Amino acid sequence: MSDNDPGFENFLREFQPRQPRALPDGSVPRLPWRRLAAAAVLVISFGSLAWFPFRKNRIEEAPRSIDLTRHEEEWRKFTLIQWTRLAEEDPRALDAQLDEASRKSLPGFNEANSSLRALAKP
Amino acid sequence: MSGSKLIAEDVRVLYERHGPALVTYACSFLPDAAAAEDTVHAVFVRLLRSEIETPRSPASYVYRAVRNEALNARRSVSRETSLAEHEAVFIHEGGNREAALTLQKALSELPEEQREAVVMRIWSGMTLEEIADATAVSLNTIASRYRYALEKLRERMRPFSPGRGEKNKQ
Repeated sequence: MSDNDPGFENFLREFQPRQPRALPDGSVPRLPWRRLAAAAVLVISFGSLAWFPFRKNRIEEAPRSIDLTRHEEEWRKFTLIQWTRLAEEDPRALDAQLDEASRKSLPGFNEANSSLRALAKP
Repeated sequence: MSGSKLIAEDVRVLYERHGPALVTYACSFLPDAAAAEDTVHAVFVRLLRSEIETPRSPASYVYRAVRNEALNARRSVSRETSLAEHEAVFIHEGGNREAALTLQKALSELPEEQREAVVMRIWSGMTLEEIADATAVSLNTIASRYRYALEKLRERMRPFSPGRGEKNKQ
């Protein structure tokens, strides 16, 4: 159906329509948004990659603090009777315990059952 | 171009393939090639700036859009301007400016549906089947329109196509 007149069709094709000017690059508002979105994804990705090792180090450091706290808690669990018994039965052991505790944490003395208050009692 | 949205790349491909033919098409509604080029450019810039659903026939869509834009533009442009005073929309390979202007004028005098068929076929490179699909008209109707258009153009262009204006008998 398109073979109407190939010779004349080819003659018409000798006339080339003028090329319209190029479309402006800046006329696409979606492209900057896509670039911004891609940049945001990159920032989040790199941020996460940097954050996880840092967080891991923090977690690895954490047990030391927990140990101190736990030791202090154990220290405070000693009752007055236990301290008294230890002082009577083995004063050297008491001194060693106090030395050990003082190296790791200061004993509280504001509380009613604090070590210093216990020792100060007659 | 089968995606749900007509993306910028699709628009640019359409512009590269159909832009020159659309300028020719728009020129038949407008007094000069510059106005036609502005019209086509404006349509495609608007397409780039908006997200539209991909039309079933993108070529048909841009032809309709250019036609509407050209008709709107024509209301604000004087139609009395002489064609020869303006730059021709066509450039002839052999540099025949008079033939180019004659072709431009002959095209503008065709009935719109015939002009559309011949522009789509010759300068947009569409097959008659594609034109029929794009314009939602039967293939026989498109073939008739195209044949009538060629006959009229051949008659008008006869002085510039010696030996070629005769119907090819092969």
